[in-house]
Amino acid sequence: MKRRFSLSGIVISNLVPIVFLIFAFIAVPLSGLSVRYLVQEIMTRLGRDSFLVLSLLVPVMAGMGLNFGMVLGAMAGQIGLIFISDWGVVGVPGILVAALIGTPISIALGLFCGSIMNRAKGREMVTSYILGFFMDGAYQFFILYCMGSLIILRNPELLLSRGYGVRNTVDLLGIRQILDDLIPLSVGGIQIPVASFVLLATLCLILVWFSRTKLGQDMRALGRDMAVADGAGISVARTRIIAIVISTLLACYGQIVSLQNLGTINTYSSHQQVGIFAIAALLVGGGSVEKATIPNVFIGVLLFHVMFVVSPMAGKNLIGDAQLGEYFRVFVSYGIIAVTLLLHAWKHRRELRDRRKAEDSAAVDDSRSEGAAL
Amino acid sequence: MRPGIRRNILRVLLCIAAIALGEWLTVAGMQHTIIFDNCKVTRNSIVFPAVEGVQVTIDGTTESVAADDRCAVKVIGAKNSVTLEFIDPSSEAGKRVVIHLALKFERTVIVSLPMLANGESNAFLPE
Amino acid sequence: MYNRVSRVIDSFGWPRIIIAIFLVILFAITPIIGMRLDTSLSDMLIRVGMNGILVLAMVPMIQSGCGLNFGLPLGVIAGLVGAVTSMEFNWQGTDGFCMAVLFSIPLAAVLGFFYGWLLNMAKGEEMMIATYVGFSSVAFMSIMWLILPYRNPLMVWGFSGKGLRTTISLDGFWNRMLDSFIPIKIGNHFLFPTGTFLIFAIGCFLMWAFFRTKTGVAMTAAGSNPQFARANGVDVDRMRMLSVVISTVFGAIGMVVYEQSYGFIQLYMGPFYMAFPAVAAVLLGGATINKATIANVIIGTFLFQGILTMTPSVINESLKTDMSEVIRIVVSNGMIVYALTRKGKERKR
Repeated sequence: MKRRFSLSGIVISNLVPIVFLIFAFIAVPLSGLSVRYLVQEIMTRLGRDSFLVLSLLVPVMAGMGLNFGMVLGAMAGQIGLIFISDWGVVGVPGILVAALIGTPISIALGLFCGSIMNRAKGREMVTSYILGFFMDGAYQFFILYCMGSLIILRNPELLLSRGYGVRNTVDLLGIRQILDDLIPLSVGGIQIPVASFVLLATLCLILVWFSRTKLGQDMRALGRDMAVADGAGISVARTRIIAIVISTLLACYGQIVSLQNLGTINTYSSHQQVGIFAIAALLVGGGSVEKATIPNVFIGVLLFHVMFVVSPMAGKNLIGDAQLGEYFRVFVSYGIIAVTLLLHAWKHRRELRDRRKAEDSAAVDDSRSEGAAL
Repeated sequence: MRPGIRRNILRVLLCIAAIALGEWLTVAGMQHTIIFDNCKVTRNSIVFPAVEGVQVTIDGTTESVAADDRCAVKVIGAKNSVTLEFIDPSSEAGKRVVIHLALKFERTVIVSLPMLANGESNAFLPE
Repeated sequence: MYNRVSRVIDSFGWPRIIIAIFLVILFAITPIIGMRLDTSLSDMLIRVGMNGILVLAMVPMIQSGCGLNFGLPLGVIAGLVGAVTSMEFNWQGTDGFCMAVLFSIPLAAVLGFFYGWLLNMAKGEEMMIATYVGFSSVAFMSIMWLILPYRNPLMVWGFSGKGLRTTISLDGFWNRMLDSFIPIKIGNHFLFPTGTFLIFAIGCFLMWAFFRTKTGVAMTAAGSNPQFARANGVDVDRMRMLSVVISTVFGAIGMVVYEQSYGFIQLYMGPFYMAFPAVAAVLLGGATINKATIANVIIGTFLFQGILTMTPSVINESLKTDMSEVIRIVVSNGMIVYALTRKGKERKR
């Protein structure tokens, strides 16, 4: 098949990042924020949120679409963090213990999510989306009622005034910015969270290595064509579940990394935003339901966060209301996902139609040649 | 050994290793508050009066505790050594007492300075 | 005999039976813990009437093969605009209500047209796209609420005079208009919201009648077997579009009915999650992703609102805690997940 190297082709397949880039060029000067401030914010946010977005790559590879179930991993990470706050474990050991606590919870939740998604083949994304909400309810039940009553917390500061249930915000003073400051580096007055970046680089290398292992190859085969993979003897159900478990685990660690930077847990809302924003970031970076690469992740986090930081001020300067900027930011985040999914579905249909047309015309040619041969 | 059993034994060992690691990390990273209490205290009918002019050094932080006063210091981890120095010019000038604390999971401990100054081995007060 | 029973149970679905029994138990417990049965019953009925039309709005899109209408917020927004506009001109009582409905219908039709066009472009991931279109439009409208030129002092922020408030009270306008229309009051605590139920009944009847018309049948065909329908001359895309428009219009009307019962207009992020209870209700009533009947709507709304009304109150009374929010989340989303994992009829594209 001849590859048409057309400008329009490039633009269409990278439409979303390009739109975003244009938007950024307009909005940044509009917001009146200094470049230095922007760069600092981007550095911090890259270090903070990229981990979470990286967790989305594995399910996409395995053909399961965008894993909205990553919020389950985020919840597990938060539970771990709540415990270490209660016990008073600080510093790097604190983070490691939170990760250790979150791991079995993530695995269990990942197994649950994966098996449910297996029963909803073809509708994985919606299912994981609603499942995220459902687990939110379960998580709230656990945090709001079991913690403090069935599961004893030692530190009364963590509890609500009625005596049980975790407070709305949990301060992570003990581990605040612990990763960021681990290897401090300041370039031109801009703090760079070196340790976070080292961690990210390690994760990227691990992901690349993973996609070359047998398991990784299996997943890629699944992503390309489930029926073919099944015929080749790959255990479809099991591999899919493993993909989700890995994603959930990474989301758990990613949430720990993210929260250690923020320094506070919003017990009842931190995890909800995580899914939406991570997925939006991935899509902004050019990722799609069927294909997402590591560059997509970083470009996406960069662009998305530029928009995030710039919108409120741009909205305020444009219309005179900062609140507007907030809504604008929400609108753009969700709108991007809608547009991307739309483009993806439209492209998919076009491909199907083209393929069918090609098959039809090939059949016609065949019959014509057969007729000629007769 | 059947592969199934072997895999399960490995899993169990992994879990135990993880728990052990978790416990070690928790102890290493746990933050404790040590309260140095310099009030008159009685134990087993022996009276320890408050000590004048004492200075406590722990993990690099130095605090002076006046008589009948308390002072709280936060430390991290299990091994901590406490150094008491008396800067009071009278009687026991320049006397130093060093004790080592081995803390594990306690959040707050209260150490009685009078008892410590008099060489009591167990200078911990109940909360 | 046993075969008949098991077949009935199968077709009814175990979850529904469990929830129905649970509901009956809840009602039975009410007098024991000191709650009034008639108040609870009355509350439940009011909520059924309140939500009924919103649940009805699910049916056309399910039947035409567009899946669960997670984009209901679009219709809700149309309803909100209608209500707010009607208030702006200070129409009260019946006039106000009718005006609200009348204003919202054309807007809903337009929005539905746009939404339907999007969905037709996006065959395959309709539900996800619907969700996000819904969300982004709520966010977009939030911006609009701030800048649209509404001036009625009862609706806008106090000192600036510009921008609508987040919650607007309908007191004095058409609050509870339908509920109190020919009310049936039994004693002090039981109020049967006749008006609301009448509207709900009319809505159900209209929907039922529609699906018996030629267009309605064509719509169902388009949903259950598009290729067959196309072979028979049905324009599947047009059917889908029509179903979305009807859905959105019902959503708008449903929202106005909801508001009159609730007593408040909730703008900004209010409509954000409004699709989920309606989806859960219709699924609870036995609908699947590609088939829904009016019976599903009625049974589902009763069961769902029953659970939502009764469970929190009962648990709150007996355990003295407020678990309503958590229960609502778990029940409604659990139902949707359950429905999504059921093997429905395999759709042939």
